[in-house]
Amino acid sequence: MAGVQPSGGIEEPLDLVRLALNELVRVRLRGQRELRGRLHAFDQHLNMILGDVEETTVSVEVDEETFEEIITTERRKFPMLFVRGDTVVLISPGITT
Amino acid sequence: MLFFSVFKTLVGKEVVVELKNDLTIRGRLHSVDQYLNVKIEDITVLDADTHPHLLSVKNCFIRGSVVRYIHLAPKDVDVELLEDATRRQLKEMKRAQMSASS
Amino acid sequence: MDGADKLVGACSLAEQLNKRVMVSLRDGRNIVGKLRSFDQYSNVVLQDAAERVVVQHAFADVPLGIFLVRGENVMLVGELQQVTPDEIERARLAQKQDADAIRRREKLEWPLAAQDDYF
Repeated sequence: MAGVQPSGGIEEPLDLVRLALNELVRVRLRGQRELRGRLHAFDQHLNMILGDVEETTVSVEVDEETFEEIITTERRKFPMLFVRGDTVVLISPGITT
Repeated sequence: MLFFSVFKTLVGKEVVVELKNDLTIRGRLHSVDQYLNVKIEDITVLDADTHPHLLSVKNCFIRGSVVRYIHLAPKDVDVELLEDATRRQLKEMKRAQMSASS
Repeated sequence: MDGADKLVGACSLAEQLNKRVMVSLRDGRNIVGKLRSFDQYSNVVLQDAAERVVVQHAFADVPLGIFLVRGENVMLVGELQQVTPDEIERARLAQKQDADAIRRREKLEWPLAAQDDYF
C-alpha cells in the first residue's frame, strides 16, 4: 500500500477519524438518521462508541388528500451509545455545537 | 476485535439493544462473540404490545448484523481507556499493512 | 482465540440445543421449533418447526416440518420458557382431584395448552 507511513498525519481515510477521537462528530446513518456526539472509539468497520449523543431522525409522510409532504423530526438523547458500522454513511469531524 | 473486547468487559451489565427494525430489547449482557452477536438475559421488550410473541422469551441470542445501536451506561465505560485502545488498534493495523506490503 | 475468551460468556447457541426456541426472521416471521443444529453463520436447523402467526394477543402455530434457516435471515433466537414435566403433572393432579374439575378445566385448558411455549 503506497503512501502509508507511521507518522501522525493523514494518509488514509481512517486517519481523519482517528484525529476526531475525543472530539465532537456528526455521523450520518442510513434511514435519514444523524448522530452528534463525542467519539470515544471506532474500528475499521466504523463501529463506534459515542458519548452524549443526540440522534435526529427525519421522516416524510405524504398527506393522502392534499399530497402535501409532512416532515417530522424526532430527537433522542443517549449518554453512551455503541453504533454498528454497517449503517454508517459518513462521518464529519470537528463540529461545533 | 476492539469492540469484541469492549463488550466482554460489559458482560453482566445492563444494556439496551436497538435493532434495525426498531425492536428494542433491554436486558443483561450474557455473552458476545467476534461477530458481535450477543446473548441477553432477562429481557424486556420495549413496546411489548406490538411484539407479544416475545413475552414468552426470557433469554435470547441476537445476530450482530441486525443491531443498530447498543445503549450503554456511561458508568460501565472508561472513555480514556477506549480512546487509547482505539489508537493502539489502529497502530497495529498499520504495522500489519506495512509488513504485508513490504 | 484462546480458552480465556470462551470463559467470559461464550456466545453460542449450544445452551439452546435440543430446546424449544423461537427464531425471529428479518422479514418479521417467527418460527418455533426444537433447535437441533447451528453453526458460526447462525444457520439453524429446527425440528418440528412451525410458523407462529400472531394476531394481536392471540397466536397460532402452523406446522412446517423440519427447517434449515439460513443465518443471514436470522434476527433473534429466543429460548422459549420451558414448563417442566413436574409442573404439568402437578397441574394434572390438581385437575383430577378437584371436585369441580370440569368447571376448572375450562380455565386451565387454555393455559395448559399454551404454556408449553407461550406466555
